[in-house]
This record gives sequence, structure tokens and C-alpha cells, in this order.
Amino acid sequence: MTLRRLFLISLASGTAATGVHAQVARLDASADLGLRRSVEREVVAARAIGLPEGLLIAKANEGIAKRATPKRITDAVAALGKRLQVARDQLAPNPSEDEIAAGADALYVGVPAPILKKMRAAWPHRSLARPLGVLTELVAKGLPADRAAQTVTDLMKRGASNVQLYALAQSVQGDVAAGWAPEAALDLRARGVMSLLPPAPAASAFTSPRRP
Amino acid sequence: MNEAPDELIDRAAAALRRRHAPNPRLVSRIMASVQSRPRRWWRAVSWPSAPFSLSATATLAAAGLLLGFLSREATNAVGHDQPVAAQPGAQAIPLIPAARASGEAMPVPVQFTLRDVRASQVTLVGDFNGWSQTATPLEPGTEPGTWSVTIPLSAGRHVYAFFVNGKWMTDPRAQTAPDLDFGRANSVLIVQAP
Repeated sequence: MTLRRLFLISLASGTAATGVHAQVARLDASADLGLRRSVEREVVAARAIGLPEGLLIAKANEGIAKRATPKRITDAVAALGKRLQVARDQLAPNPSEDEIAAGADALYVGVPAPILKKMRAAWPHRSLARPLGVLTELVAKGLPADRAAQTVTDLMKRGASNVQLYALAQSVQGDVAAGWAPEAALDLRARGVMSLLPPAPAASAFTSPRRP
Repeated sequence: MNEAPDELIDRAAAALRRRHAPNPRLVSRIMASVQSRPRRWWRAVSWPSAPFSLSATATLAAAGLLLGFLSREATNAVGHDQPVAAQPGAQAIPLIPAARASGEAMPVPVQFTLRDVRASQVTLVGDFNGWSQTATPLEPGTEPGTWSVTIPLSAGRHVYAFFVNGKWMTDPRAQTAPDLDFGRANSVLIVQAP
């Protein structure tokens, strides 16, 4: 190995270490040394596989703010790292950082991973960060993940904008807070958004179900 | 229809026939005065220094008032055309006119408010500031116990909470989401693109 190559490797590893230290420096000052080291390990692992490590620091800070124990914080950070990895894989090939974060949030509230993959397959070129945020909110409000995902997917197929999807989530949120059953609220509000959208294109002969 | 000549019209016609012929000297003086007035282009050039008649001044003043009124209305329409939502503690406020917003990438100013008479220090923590306990302090309002801060947020779903006198506190006027990791719920805010 030449001296020049050694220099380049040490420079690269030094830069990576500096990046990790810069991230860990954003950890709340009240974090003790043990927590700082365990979070740093998670950050290094996330960085090695190209995950957005800033979200891990934020999760640790959330735990510190909530006065959680260091073990609980470390577990939560590690769990988030796994969710980020699953989301990144399901939303392949080139998910943005926002999409990965939104996918991890969706997984967190109980959306099954294959739903993320289905949505990516249906919209390979549209950012799914906002629709996944809406899906997360609907599931967090008590709707079954399959039902909520179906509704969001149907609305997207009909050309609903992200603003319309947000409006749906906000309306359902308000309805549930007012005592409505989540399914009833979703059904009613989805009809409201549907009524604003252009009619679905007529099914072609190719896609029509064939008679036996 | 009555075909008889109207008496009033007859009297008016007779009075007009009796009018005096105009004084030729007066006519010639008036015409000389009119012809001696400066040409249009010179009047246009000397307009700023020419004395204004009362009617012209009044017309200009009225036009100025009207212009001012219209421009004020237009400014108000740009800044306040969307009503502020009254329900949640965190409200998107329409500081960015919809016409200038270029879609969802543009952050939306959101005002977070809290009323707590026991609070002596309030900060905002959330996914938008990395849950930093020091990054986003709330300022006290003029009314005792009122606190607020306005920050730009991207459209989407956000979770947050207040940190009041060093203790975690969800927004009493917002919806909450359970936290499976640490056990303390977060407040939820959905920010819509302008």
C-alpha cells in the first residue's frame, strides 16, 4: 500500500468520524457518557448503510426530554434504525430521506411493510412522503391499516392532491375527536374528497373482467 | 294625444326670440382671449407649475383617496384572505399569500400558543427541531401566562410537545398520539400546504 493510499484512507475515515461526532454533538447535553456512546454506535451503524442518522439523534433527544432511562432510549434508537432500514428497502430503489422517515413512522403505528412496497410500485416517481404521513395519521386515529391504505391509494389513483389528502386526515382527526367511529369518519370524508375529483376513466375492454 | 300647442312652450319660444343680439366687441374679445391661450403641448409641460382650479384639486384629492383605499384593500386581501383556524393550539397562520406559495416545498408559518399561569419558561420540542429542549423558546405575551412562538414548518404530519418549567407537557388544545417508545404521548399537528 502506498503512502498516498494510506493518507487517503485515513482522510476518509477521519472525515466519517468527524461526521458521526458532529451528529452525536447534537445529542442533548444532559446525556451521560454511556448513553452518548451507545447512540454513537447506532449512528455509526446507520451511516454505514446509508440511513439518515439525524433521525436517530432526534429520537434519543425525544427520550431524554421525556426522562426515559438510557436503556429505553438506546432500545428506541435501535428500533428506529431497524424501521428506517425496512422503510428504505420497501420504498426502493431511490427513496428520499423524507420518504424513509415517513415510511418508518408508518411502520411505527402498525402499517405492514408490504403496503409501503405496494405504494411504491404504484407510484415509482411520485414522492410518497406526504401520502405516508396521511396514512400514518389515519392508522394512529384507530383505523385498520389495510382500510386506511386502500382509501389513500384509491384517492391517489383518482388524482387526489396531497392537499386533499391532508384535508381528509384533518377532517377524520376532528371527527374522531368529536366521537365518531374512525371507519365511519373515513368513509364519509373520503366520499367528500372523491366528489371533488374527476370521474374515474372508464375501464377499457382489455382491463374489463372477462365473463367465464 | 293632445295636438294643441302647449302654452308654456309658446312662451319660452317667444322669450328666446326676444333675446338680444350678442355684443360684437365682447365676442371679439373672447375670441382673442381664447386664441392667445398656450398650445396643448405647452400646457402639458407647464402643468405642474400651473395653478390648480378648485375642481381639479378636489378631483385629484378624491382620486388619491380612492387609490389609497383600493391599495389598502388589496394589501389586506393578500395578507388575510384565509381565516385562522380556531381549534388547535398550534395554528397555521397565512403569512405567505397563497399566490406566492410555490407548492408544498414552501414552509408554512405556524404559531404555537400556550396558556399556563404557572409557567416561567416554555420551549417547544418536536420532530421539526430534533426534539431540542433549547432550540425553540416561547415568548411571553402581554397577558400573564400566555406564551407563543411562530416557526416555519414543512407541510405534513408533525409531532411535538411543550417543555414547561423543565417538564414535558402536551398541547392541551391539540390531538395526541401515543408513544410506544417512551410512554409519554405527543401532540399531533397536520400542516397543510398553502
